[in-house]
Amino acid sequence: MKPRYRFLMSRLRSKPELILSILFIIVFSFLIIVPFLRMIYTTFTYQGYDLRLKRDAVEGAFTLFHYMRVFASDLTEAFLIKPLLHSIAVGFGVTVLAMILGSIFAWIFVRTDIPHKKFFQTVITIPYMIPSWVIALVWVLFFQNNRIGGTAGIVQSLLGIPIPDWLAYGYVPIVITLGLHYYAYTFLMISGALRTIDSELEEAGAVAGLQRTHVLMKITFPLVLPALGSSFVLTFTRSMGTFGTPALLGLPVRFFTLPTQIYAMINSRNVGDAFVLALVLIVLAVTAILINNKMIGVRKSFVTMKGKGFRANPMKLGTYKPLIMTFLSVFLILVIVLPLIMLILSTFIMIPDNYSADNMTTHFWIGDSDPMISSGQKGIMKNEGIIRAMFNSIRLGVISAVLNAFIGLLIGYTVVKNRGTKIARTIEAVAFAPYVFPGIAFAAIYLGMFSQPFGPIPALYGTFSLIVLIVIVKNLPFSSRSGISAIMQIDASLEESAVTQGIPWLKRFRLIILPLSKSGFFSGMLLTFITSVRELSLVILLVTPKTELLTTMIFAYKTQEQTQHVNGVTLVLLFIIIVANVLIRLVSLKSKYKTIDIG
Amino acid sequence: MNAITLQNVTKNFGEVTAVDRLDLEIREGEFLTLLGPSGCGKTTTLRMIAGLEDPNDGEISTKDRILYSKAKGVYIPPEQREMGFMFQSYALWPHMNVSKNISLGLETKKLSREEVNSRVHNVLDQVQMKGYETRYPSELSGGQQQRVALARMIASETGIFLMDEPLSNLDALLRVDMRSELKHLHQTLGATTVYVTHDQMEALTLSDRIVVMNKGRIMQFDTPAEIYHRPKNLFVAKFVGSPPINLISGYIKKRDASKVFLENKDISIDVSSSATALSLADGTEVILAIRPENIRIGSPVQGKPSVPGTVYAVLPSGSETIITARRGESEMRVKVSGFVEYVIDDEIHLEFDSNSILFFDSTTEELITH
Repeated sequence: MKPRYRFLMSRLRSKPELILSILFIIVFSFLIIVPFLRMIYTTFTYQGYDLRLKRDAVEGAFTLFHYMRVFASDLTEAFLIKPLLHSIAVGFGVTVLAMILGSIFAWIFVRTDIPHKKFFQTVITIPYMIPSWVIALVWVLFFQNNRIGGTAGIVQSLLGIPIPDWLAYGYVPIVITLGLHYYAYTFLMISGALRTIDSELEEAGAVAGLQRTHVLMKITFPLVLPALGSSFVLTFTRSMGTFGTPALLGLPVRFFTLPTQIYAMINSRNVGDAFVLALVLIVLAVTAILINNKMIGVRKSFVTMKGKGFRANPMKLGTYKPLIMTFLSVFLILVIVLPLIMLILSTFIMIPDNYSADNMTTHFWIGDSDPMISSGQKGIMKNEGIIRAMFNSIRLGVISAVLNAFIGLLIGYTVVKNRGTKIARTIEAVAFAPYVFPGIAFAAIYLGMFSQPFGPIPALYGTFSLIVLIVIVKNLPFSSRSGISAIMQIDASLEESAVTQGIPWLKRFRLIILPLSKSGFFSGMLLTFITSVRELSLVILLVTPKTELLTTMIFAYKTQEQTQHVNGVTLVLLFIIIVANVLIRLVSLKSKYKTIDIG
Repeated sequence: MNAITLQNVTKNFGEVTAVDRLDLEIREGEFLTLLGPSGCGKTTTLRMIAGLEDPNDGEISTKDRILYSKAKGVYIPPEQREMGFMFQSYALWPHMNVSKNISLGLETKKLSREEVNSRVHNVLDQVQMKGYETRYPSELSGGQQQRVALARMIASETGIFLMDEPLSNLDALLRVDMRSELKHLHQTLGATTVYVTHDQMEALTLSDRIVVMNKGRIMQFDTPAEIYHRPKNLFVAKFVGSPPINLISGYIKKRDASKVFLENKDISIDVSSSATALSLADGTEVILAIRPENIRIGSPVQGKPSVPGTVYAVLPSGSETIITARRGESEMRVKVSGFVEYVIDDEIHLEFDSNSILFFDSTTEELITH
């Protein structure tokens, strides 16, 4: 068997994609599959928390206790039914609102001759760059009432309009604020689909004698239907699983959705039940993705992308132009400009609901510790805690951006080179799996898993490394996708020609693959930076005073009702995100190399 | 001396057998072409020689070493096979200029800076691309990119060149130019060249020997003249030659010992002057094949193979004219030199050159020899 072994080894050595496959399978097993199995295992065994409830329970013994309690007990209503219905109701409301706004904007920007398209389009997608819960913070600033803790918001204190509870907290504000975040997402998807429709198709309908409304209903609508369906499903699952906004606007009135319910349970150490709920969320997300894939699969033939001979004939708005311009401007002022101004203003006000000039102060930015004001917290610029959090956030963003971009590219290389094999499909699927894991449950698992040395990894409990690790894993779905598409764009012969010239793999990777995927690599890096610095639910359980991040800091200040610090730190976070965005634009503007036209 | 030997090489892609138990001996210094329709396994064969694809079975070796043998447990990775490879898409690195494209591989070979520079200089000279050193691929025309790719391959001085349809992305005029360049280069450098193409004209003009492949197997392995004049089977006969060879199906009708006719319901051709025809038994189902240039338009001559037909189309192209004539369900093309006019629907008489007539067995599709 010796020559056979030698044969296998020498082949393996010259096949980096196989070595990488093995490596990824090992690493992914540790970081994705084992945690998931542990989650399932936990739901089937007694946990320490359960011993108080069930005297004869033995910790670690097999049981269906958690499933019984979540699915069939008098707690089912409170644990499962209510949060689930709330989540579905939130998801549905948010999606409808986002779809309406997104479709209107998509139509305006793709199909009409609205002026300043570039500018409006950039501004309109801003809400998508910032964390979704920032809009919730602004909502609180405006619509808080003084019945449920805290002080009155701007509307009540300045205009004297009493705000009913349903408008201050709970379902309605959650739907509105999330809708104002996710519309940008549906807008991007729908306008992408609209752009692929050749207006000749519509003109052909018109020539054939169809009325304008008929053209819209019989031609345009069916053509964008797959994109509409797919953005509906994706927006629904994402808004249903979001944590920050329901936590800020729901928890004060005990309005629980699945993620906040999971959070509450984990906080009270009831991980068994929490993980059952997490599995419910995972099942929902996976179902939605399967439906989406099916829909795209069925309708794929509808996509009329042709590349050439494409003509989009913008509709003349004529006399409606001022009306639509006004609508856009008012929307932007209400949703972006005014909230930002008020957010800034609120950090310069001493007593929260008093907007008179003599109440103005710079204390919250540059003041020293004063035990009378906000529990003696120093101003933001002087506050070591905040500065450390800022440093930590940036460090987290940079490390995960760099590592995710590299790992993503390597995954892309492995998947594309092994294309069509089971290995490639497995790696691609497993790298995508973290997408469906609810952040808090995922963090709870990691917390348990890495509290002792695990395999070759030392105990990471309370370390910054653990935060970096989990953020990187959670980013894998995105970075592997962009890595795959980056490698797919490089024709295989470009690497093969280097192979035949005897150039070894590392050199090929460094001199050919990396430079050719550069622009995708950098923009992927910056996007990862942004998602990492705005991460909340994933890291909230893992931070310690030393590893505090801006997002968790904001959340902590929020629970202490230190409004100025909440808003001030949020502004710092927004500033970092905006700088990163400007960088993305600069990078994507100068993608230098044209690939050779391959006949 | 064989430069490259393939023994019993098989390659499967899932259920599909791309190359089926292939044996091939490539002589040192020859220009060998793998010719066949797309999907016949020619590119796969070339890529297996280069190591870009691994066979499922068999052995590949060069004159001094085994490159691949599962049975003997030998595997030389493509990086160490010392073969030049030219891709259909040229595969120039778009982010490197011309001279870097050529020198990158040389630098890996640990050659001195001067050696690398002088080689880059020399090969660019050879392919007439001097002065383009600092250009990027996107700033070159298709033909220039082609020359750079060629230069890159020559520069490695490997002694074996593998080329995968290198001319197929060029326009027709440039292709003819490059053919003579390639032939000239091969004669100057004397490198063993394995060339893949689906263009039979390219194969005939360039090669010392041609391997015609179909469905992963060798249909014929011979010199261009043999391939063209004595195709071993119907596949090769049909695949090589433009316009394609004329085929007339029928059966042998023996009038007496020296009078033999090929007949079908429309045609009766006196093939007594063909020795092959005389050796065939009465009633044998055969296919008569004759190349368009071996037919003359004239008047019937007793004892010579000929057939009347109606002019269907006349396609003059300057140096030659192709006339399509019909007789019942049979269609025949005739190639005559010069610019010739015929009137559609006129009756003409087609006279076959008896020495050029071939017969193929209707069932086995093999050439019948006597």
